Amino acid sequence: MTDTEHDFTFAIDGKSIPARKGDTILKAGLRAGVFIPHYCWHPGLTVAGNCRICLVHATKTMPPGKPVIACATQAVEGMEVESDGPRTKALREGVMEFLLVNHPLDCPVCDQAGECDLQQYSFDYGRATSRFHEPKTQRPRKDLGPLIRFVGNRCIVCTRCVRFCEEVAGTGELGVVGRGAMSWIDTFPGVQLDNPLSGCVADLCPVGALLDRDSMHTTRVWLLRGTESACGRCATGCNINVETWNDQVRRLTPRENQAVNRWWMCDEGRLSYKEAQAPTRVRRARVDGREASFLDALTRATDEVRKAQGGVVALTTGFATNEELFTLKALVGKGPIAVAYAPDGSTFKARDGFEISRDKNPNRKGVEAVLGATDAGEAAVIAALEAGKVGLAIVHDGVPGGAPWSPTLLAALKKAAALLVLAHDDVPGAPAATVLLPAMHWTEKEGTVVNGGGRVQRLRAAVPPTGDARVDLEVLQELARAAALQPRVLSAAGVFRKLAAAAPLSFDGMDYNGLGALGVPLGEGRAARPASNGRALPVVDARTGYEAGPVSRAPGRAGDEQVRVSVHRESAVGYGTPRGDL
Amino acid sequence: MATALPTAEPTVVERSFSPAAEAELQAIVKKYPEKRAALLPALRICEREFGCVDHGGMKLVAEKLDLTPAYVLGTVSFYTHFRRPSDGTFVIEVCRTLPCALRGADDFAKHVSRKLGIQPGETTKDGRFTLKNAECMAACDKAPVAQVNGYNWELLDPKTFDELLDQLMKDPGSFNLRKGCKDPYPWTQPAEPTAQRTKPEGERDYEHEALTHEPQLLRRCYKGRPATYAEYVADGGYKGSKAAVAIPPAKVTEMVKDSGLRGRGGAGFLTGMKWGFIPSTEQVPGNRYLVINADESEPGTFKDRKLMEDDPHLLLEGIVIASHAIGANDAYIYIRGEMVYGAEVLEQAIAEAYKNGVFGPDALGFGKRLDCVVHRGAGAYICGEETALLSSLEGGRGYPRLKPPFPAIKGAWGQPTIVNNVETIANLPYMFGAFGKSLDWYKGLGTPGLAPGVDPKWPRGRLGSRGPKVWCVSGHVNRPGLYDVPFGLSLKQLIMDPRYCGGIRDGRKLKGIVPGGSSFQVLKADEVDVALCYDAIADAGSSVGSAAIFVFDDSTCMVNALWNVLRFYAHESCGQCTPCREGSGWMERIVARIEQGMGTMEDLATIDAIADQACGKTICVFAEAFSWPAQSYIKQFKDEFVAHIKQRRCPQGGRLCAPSTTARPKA
Repeated sequence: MTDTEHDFTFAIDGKSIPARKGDTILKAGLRAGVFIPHYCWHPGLTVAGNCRICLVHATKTMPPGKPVIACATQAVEGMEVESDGPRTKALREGVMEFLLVNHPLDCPVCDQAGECDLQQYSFDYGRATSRFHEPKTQRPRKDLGPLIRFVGNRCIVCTRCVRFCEEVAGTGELGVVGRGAMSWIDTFPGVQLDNPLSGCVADLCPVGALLDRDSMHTTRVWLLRGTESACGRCATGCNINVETWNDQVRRLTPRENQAVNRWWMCDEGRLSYKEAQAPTRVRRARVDGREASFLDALTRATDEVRKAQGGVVALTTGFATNEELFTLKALVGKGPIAVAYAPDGSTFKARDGFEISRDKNPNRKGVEAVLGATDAGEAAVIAALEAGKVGLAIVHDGVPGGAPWSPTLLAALKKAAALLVLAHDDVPGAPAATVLLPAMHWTEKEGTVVNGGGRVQRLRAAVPPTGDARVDLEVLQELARAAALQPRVLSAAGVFRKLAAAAPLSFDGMDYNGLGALGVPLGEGRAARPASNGRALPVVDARTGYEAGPVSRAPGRAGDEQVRVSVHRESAVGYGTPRGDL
Repeated sequence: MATALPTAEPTVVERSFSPAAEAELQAIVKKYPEKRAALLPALRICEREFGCVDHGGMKLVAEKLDLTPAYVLGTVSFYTHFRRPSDGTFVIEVCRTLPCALRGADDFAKHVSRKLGIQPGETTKDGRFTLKNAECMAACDKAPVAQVNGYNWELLDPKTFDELLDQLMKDPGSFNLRKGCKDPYPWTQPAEPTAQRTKPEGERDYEHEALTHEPQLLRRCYKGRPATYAEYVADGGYKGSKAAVAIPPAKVTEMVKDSGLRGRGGAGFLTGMKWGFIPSTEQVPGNRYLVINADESEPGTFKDRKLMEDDPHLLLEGIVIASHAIGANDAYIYIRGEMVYGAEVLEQAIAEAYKNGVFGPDALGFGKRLDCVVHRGAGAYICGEETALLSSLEGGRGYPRLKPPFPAIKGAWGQPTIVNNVETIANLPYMFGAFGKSLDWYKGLGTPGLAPGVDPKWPRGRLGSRGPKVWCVSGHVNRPGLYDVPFGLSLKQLIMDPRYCGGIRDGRKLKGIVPGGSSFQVLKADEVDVALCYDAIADAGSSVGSAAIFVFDDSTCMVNALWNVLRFYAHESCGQCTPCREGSGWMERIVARIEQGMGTMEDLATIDAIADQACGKTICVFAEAFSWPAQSYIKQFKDEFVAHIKQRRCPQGGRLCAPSTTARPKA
């Protein structure tokens, strides 16, 4: 926040904190980079004020001398907050001791271990020894829904999950039942926690009380390696972390992006990584129906491109990245391109504005931006095929389960001299290919897509391609190189640079690395570029002001193994770094 | 995906209301600004329709009130007083809280258990009786007390109980026969009308004032039935409200401020000042609400029950005055779920009041409407906390709310709301001319305040304690009961004087007194010669609180007494804030261990640390309510705690106190 955007300042531990009118101590502190611990508070939910871990001492509160909760106490001008002093430390130590009174010490077998706020705060503020010698209370364990298991003994009754179901999902399946130390979270008998966003309650739970049944008991979380990507399940394009271990996706978790998905993602998206592990996936290349080495298949494909002498048509889908589309467009030259879109699916609008898009194509907007209008594409492709002028038809089918090609198009494809198919799944009704190559799942891809709101976002390769597949974009570029359309194969960043420079106004001024973790809206490439004023490099934190918790699902955790440095391209010239492709 | 856990979900029987019940529900819904507020009353309809509140009933109510079933389940499970599907025809709840326990409730409960052949929480095989342990029923002068389907059975001993049970077996309709039963020690006359002054002329003689004081608040009580509208008017009632509505509201608030009336619910906040916090309609437009806190559940307190059951119109008259002052058109009386009879009396009295124009479209004059609704709670001590009460009134779990905003700014349904105790409101008619009294008379009663800066000893001044006051004395005195005695009399005299409580039972010695209800500190025998007023008792290290005075004789085991108190608080913590939810139960378990001879000296330090870690760290003052007694009992009677630890047993053999040797009065 710049100096002009705040109304007044107050102090936390002597540090001046700019604040807007109505800000709480916690919110203003987090925005200014001062962390105050919290369990029950979440930026996307109403304030409950029940966990008491954010207690601080502050001046200008009533009655004087009584500690206040930072999450519900409004900051006022000139207020002095003690968040890191002996008195506050004693408060937190006290609350931590109470929280652990009835909490089981089952961290070794708890799935939350490693990303548990209770663990983290125990480390930060806990007592070294326990004074509790009494038997602990026992509370029930239950599957609340298809995706969520509740382990009652671990629950600290912060009510984040209850508030989420009420205020965000709007379905209200959860309630606090019981009273006092014997309160816990439950559903009404016969009612399942199965709203389209139910998985979020596991993300929200600051302890191991609500677990994602899909990923629990599979991997210790500290082994997971996170990749900041965008979900490829629908046109919403939720910002997510693709969390992997041993080159396998173990779970997808949402990442905060206020312009796209706030803090949430849907269950359908959450489980969509399983498509990449489907038994129908194409894993080996095939030439004329027989398994072949990838190199042989690619050689055959490049031969066909040369033979086709420009008689190339292409079929693609709303799942292709902008870079793939751009390369495909170059490949066909003036030839027609047909686009198939996955059919509409279910939609859901949460009370806070988060929406699951009816459009299940992650890049419909990108197709429109890169290829322009494609309505006539299919008819043109069929016409070209029927006319027998097609030397090579390239089918790029990255849709899990197969794209819905029209029967007439499939029938017409038989007339192509050669047919190169990049397919995600080998499903009945797929085109009979001369050369079949495995296509990638979106969790394996590097590139950009444009979500339904027109935001250009990056997909990042979290796992290597399945089987002996190679990167789709590279395959397409190899073909382009064989057709003498480009001298060498570029990275996605390189293709994007060409796309931004060459093509439509919408990508104008965009920089691949400059898209950052949160993306840039179409047409705003220039505005989003950091101003170059000859001073020190501006440090732009890709994360927004605050996060759901310090450890659990913290957006920063995903990138911690890959330190990325984004440098403005004009500055890069000064460093002697070649522009664009790295 | 991990394999699913086996589930054993209860079956949900489909339920539907009879047309009469449906109509009743619709009528109830109309009484509240929001549908949700009808949840507790709707569940009471379920109880009547289906015999209990089961999952089918909850689902039905959820549909009727546009709530989610989980919300209804959460609310029902918060309260203890709804009939469960497993309950028998008669639910017998035996009070186990300290005032009853001091008068033999533990032995009595064992007898009941033996007699019925079941343990607490169980139901007899024939499905006739369910036995439950319960908490303070607000009839502590008539201990031991039990409730049968919500109606009190008082002054019980094994023989009386057996007789009543036999009668119940013969005539199942007789469970409520003892409603409004007689008090053993009614206090209707001045203690000694002819008493002589002992203080020099020109000095206030509080003892003389008290001895010659004619009971005011309890004047129309002890008839064994509620005072009717006619009786109340004949005594000079409803004159105050008539006078008050003719005075501009701001002036009424000023007069109440001037009277020095302090809230009688426990905190002792100046009532007029509280009313003064109500914002103007320009600042906050919309409705104002008056909510009467009749959730009298602080153990040892039984004044509000008496006032409501015996003289309901006194409360109703006060409601008119308070509503006029704060500009409310709707008054809600939130009455404890356990007070079934009290709620019946109030309903009747309100009907009478409507008939006589006390409430209705023109109640406040000039066409200003005033409606009054009785809202029954369902068994949760925390609902006596004003914001928890509002949460419960709105149809939710009784969770206290974050303050600020205070209810006067944002209370019931988000509108400015005043929550006042029954006795506080009952004070109002006196200062506006009812019963031939006046504001000057009112101000002359009790101990005066002191302006700030007058006396260097009290730089912030003294608020004083004025107006009539009812004291609830229970425990080991010869004559437990309600004493309508003005502020200023010595606590010791109230307890020991034969004209009042008549000293300690069985000729025993006094050990200690809790002057304000179980949430407050205990005073030792040598500390009790203190004036009964807010300032003096605060100086002595405790509080007037809700004026619930427990008296312990020298046979009392203070460790056991503290365990009893902490059992209550551990059971009643709402569970919202971490320190209270976990601290109350932890402390209770430690004290239980000490009482059972398994304590260590470190435990005493731990209890102290728990108290320090919890006090002032929670949304409401419940943490203080269990911490203050714990710290105080240990400080005042440390030798007893040490003896338990050193001897590794309770020196009294695990008994709270010696059984009484004298015969009890009959009801």
